[in-house]
Amino acid sequence: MKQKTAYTMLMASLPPHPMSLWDFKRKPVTRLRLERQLKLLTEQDSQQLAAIESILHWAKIQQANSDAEIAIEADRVIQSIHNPLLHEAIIWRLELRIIVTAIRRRKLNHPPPEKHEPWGYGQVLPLIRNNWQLDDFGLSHRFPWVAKAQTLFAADQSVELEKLLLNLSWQHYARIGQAHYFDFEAVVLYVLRWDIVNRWTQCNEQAAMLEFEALVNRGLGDFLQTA
Amino acid sequence: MTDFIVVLGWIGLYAPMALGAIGSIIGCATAGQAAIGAMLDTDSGYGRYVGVSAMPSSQVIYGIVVMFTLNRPVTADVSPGLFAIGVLAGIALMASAIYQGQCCASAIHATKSKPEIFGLSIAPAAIVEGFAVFAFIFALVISANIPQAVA
Repeated sequence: MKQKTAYTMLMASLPPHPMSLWDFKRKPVTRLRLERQLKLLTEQDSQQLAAIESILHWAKIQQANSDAEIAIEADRVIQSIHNPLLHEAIIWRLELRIIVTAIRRRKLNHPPPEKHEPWGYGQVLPLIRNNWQLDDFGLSHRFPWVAKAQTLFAADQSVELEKLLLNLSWQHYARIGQAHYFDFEAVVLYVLRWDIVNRWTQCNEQAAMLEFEALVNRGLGDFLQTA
Repeated sequence: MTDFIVVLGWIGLYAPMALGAIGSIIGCATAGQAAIGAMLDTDSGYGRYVGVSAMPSSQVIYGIVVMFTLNRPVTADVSPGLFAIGVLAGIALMASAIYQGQCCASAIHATKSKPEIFGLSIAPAAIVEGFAVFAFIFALVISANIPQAVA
């Protein structure tokens, strides 16, 4: 009971996420403050949350790790968690990523992964391998967004694709967390959604284009002057 | 056997008060923790958060009233009635207080970001309170059928 009421306090101390991801102009709470509030978690729950973030939060995934290492780590974390809702949250996100990875690999004319090649996590792996030649990998019945993602990827609309993927995760977490308000599941889903907001609010298309242009000009500066 | 039945009678006599108090403790603690959390995130409205978090305390008052209404010489003849009414009313009051506390916690959480829904947000908690009132009133009514003393 002590833990339950502590989590009630934790959740009540955090600003609620709005319904739409696009309503954000800035993060509802800073990471520093979020970390401070998360100290109310028990040691075990805190470790579990860190483990979940370590396999889902890009910034926390070691860049040097191979696909196989990431898949093995994801398997280890999932096996260590016994909460069905958290399983669902993790596996759904990993499957989303593996589908996007498959779309990328195919566009690069890579062959389908080998049968025992560990390149991701989820039950969709054999389906993707067996249906490599199909546009939607035969997954549209379960993942209706695959066709749209495929189209956006083919058209090089990377910002729209990113928006689609972030919004899918945002909506999914909102849906599965509907019956959870003041428990550990609610805390995990809040943090996962915060990671999505953080990623989105850090995206600034205009600023990125200006920065890219500046980098190109800086890189070509000497060459243009000598030409 | 008679002693056992009499013990059940005493349990039934105290149950509405004890179970109501347990429910109120849990409900107020849940809502109170939410109020404290909300205070960390806002700069005003502290009074209303604390006020809402005290809502689940009414169940223990109902429990005390039911206990005094049931109070009479406990004999083997009246004990089954005392036990049934007391324990069942107590369970209803306890459940009502616990779930009302959760409603209050949600109301506090929602009010924090949308103060204009304060009145509406406590309506679900008031509805849960209504069920406690039902249990309370019917416990009072039906307890009149238990004789004060059997000659």
